[in-house]
Amino acid sequence: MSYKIYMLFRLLGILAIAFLGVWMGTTGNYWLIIPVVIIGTGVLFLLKRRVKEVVVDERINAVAYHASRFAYLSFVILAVIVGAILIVLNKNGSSEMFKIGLTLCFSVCALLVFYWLAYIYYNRKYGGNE
Amino acid sequence: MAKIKNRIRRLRFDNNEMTQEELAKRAGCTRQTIIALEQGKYVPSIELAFKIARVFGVSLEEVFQYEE
Repeated sequence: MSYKIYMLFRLLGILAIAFLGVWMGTTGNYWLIIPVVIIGTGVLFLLKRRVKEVVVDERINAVAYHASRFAYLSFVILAVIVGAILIVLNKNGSSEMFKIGLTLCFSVCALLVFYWLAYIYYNRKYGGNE
Repeated sequence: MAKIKNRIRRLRFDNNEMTQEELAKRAGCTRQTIIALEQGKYVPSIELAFKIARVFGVSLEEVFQYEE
């Protein structure tokens, strides 16, 4: 399989997973979302193995690293700002917006803890434990 | 500003007009990476730099030059 055909299948696969996920979410079949995502990811993984050309190299990894870092920082900053605004504007603590604000702020905290743990792991892996 | 320049395009033509695809295949990377290298948009790792130099059968410094 060529790289271009793989990319086409990958796009169709991601769209299919997203469509099925949303459809199952709206119809109330929440328990089916996880198997669909797992099976879809597995199929995409198998397709990737059939590509004869090099699909991922160090430049792709560098691009993915920068994209991940940008997405991570953007989410942290936006979620903190939006979360703080929602909490401040709904101080009584009873509205749904207050809960959404809290959820956003706690998700940022969780993300920062994961980042910190991952940083410690990779710092040790690449010899930074002295 | 320090920059790492390369002679990949020149070396490809000196080696029977080797295609970018052929070089990518032999160096174990994608054609897009070769394009990015030739355009000076990407600086390779030492490993990839050695692989590319080995494909052309020359030393590392004959392919990549460090300029300040």
